Amino acid sequence: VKTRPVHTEPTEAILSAIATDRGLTLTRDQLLAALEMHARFRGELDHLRAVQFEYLPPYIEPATALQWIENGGRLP
Amino acid sequence: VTELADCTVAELLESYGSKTASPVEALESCLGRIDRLDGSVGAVLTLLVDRSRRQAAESERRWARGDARQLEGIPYGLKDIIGTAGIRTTGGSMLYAENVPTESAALAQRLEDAGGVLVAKLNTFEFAGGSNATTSNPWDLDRWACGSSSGSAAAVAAHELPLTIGTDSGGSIIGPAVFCGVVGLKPTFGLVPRSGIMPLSWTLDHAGTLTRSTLDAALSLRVIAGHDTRDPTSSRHPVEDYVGKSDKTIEGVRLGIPTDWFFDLCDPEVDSAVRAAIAQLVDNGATVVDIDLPSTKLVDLHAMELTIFYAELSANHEITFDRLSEYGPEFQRLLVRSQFTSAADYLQALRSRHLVQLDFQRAFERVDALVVPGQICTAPLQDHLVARIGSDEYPLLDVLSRLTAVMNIVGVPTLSLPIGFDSLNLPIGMTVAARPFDERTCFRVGRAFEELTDFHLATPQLVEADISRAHEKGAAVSLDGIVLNPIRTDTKDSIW
Repeated sequence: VKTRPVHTEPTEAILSAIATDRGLTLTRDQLLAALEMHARFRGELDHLRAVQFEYLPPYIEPATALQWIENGGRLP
Repeated sequence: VTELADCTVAELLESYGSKTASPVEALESCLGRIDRLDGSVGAVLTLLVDRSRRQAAESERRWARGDARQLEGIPYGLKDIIGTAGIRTTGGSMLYAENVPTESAALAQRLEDAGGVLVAKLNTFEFAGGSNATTSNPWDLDRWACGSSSGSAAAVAAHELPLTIGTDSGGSIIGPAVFCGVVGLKPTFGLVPRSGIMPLSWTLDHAGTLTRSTLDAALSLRVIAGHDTRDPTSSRHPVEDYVGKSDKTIEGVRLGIPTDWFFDLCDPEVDSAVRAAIAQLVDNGATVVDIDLPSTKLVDLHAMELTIFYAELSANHEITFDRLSEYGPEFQRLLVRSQFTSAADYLQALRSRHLVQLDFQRAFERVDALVVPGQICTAPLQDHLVARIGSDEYPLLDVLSRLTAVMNIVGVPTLSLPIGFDSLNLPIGMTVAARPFDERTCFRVGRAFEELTDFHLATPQLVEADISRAHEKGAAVSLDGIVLNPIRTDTKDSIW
């Protein structure tokens, strides 16, 4: 697994555009509260986004984690 | 032990079997404790007085006939996100204040079929995700019981019930169990079906037990575990006899102590108590190995947890998002914030889970179990919800699930048990994690520690005082047939 630096910043305009696109009716206070929560964790989210999964095998899909559990802590 | 309400599940079963106590007497003792203490503790949302009395009477007849089932006559409670046929199931929310399911959750039905006596539906953070602080910690009523299974942990700690069921998506069984000084079991993901339980996060949701001993957790797990076709993630792994095969000795067990993440941010008193507990296990035959978990530096566990949680929470509540104002204030903030989770981030988080699992896989090639602090601190004050680490304070939201959510992400079984007290006499807990479906190893470590110590027998002063009062006044209980306590989603302080 490789990583790359990621630095992003949520803004009111971005959240507002997403809300509009999704047809959500939110007050400005609600939007700003959401923005504050997003901004607080953006560094951690960028850290998660930095991970780059290989396109070629071995594949890691969302379901891989379930398969690992069902098989007792290893892949078949 | 001076009241039947103070007995563990195993002690009650033994007493019923030897005819020194009956299910009806045990139930009345629990109802009396609830009647006297729950006004202060606030664990109970719905109290089923008449129904539980009918069930206890039937259990008494079964014991007399010699056809008692596995949990015959054991009083228990369910977190109120667990569906119960004919009994209101509110999710701790005004949104579902009138919700009465026609079918019980799979685990609720299994407890009933095993002869358990359902006494109460218990307080929960709203949909297991808000942070309402209406349940108090029995060790100090000014302190937080944690959550979201706050009522489930507090009811066991206050000796109102010997067994309760909670759910855990990022630490909602383990957290309250640690803060309230009881035993919490979050089984392997998929071992206990979630069918009929209000979902918070499909990927992270687990159901498990809160008890006053490890043996009780093992006795209860064998009843609630097992495949259910209504839960698409329910495992087909066979249910074991966790009790019969459970060994109480620690000799030869290899314990792993993580050198990354778990001890990086931890109150010194908690750190010392956990290391002392490990030393005690080593003195009695366990071996220890340092374990590195490099993925905890590579991927951000907190972002992984929250991204999965927000994405799935948003999807679950899509149908009622237009009724946003009917949610409690904390859940409203959570729900609005969750709307802005991208599909790309969600998939990145889901795929990253396996990187952490690979670390655990490598660890379990060298050890039988990992032992870590149950929480980074002890219970905070209800009107000042911060994590105190030494002299520093951290916002709870930033750190509360730090040690627990990783176990939900990986899906391994975890058992937390009381291992000491801090200088304020607040409980400290330690968590034991093992390979998927190796709950037996968790139970073995827990039972061995309980053989060596008596922290799990410690009783809050609140209960000690009640035992004295009950003796003075007698234990007459005059409760209505059904008690519907109000749903409260307000907070004394906020974490979101």
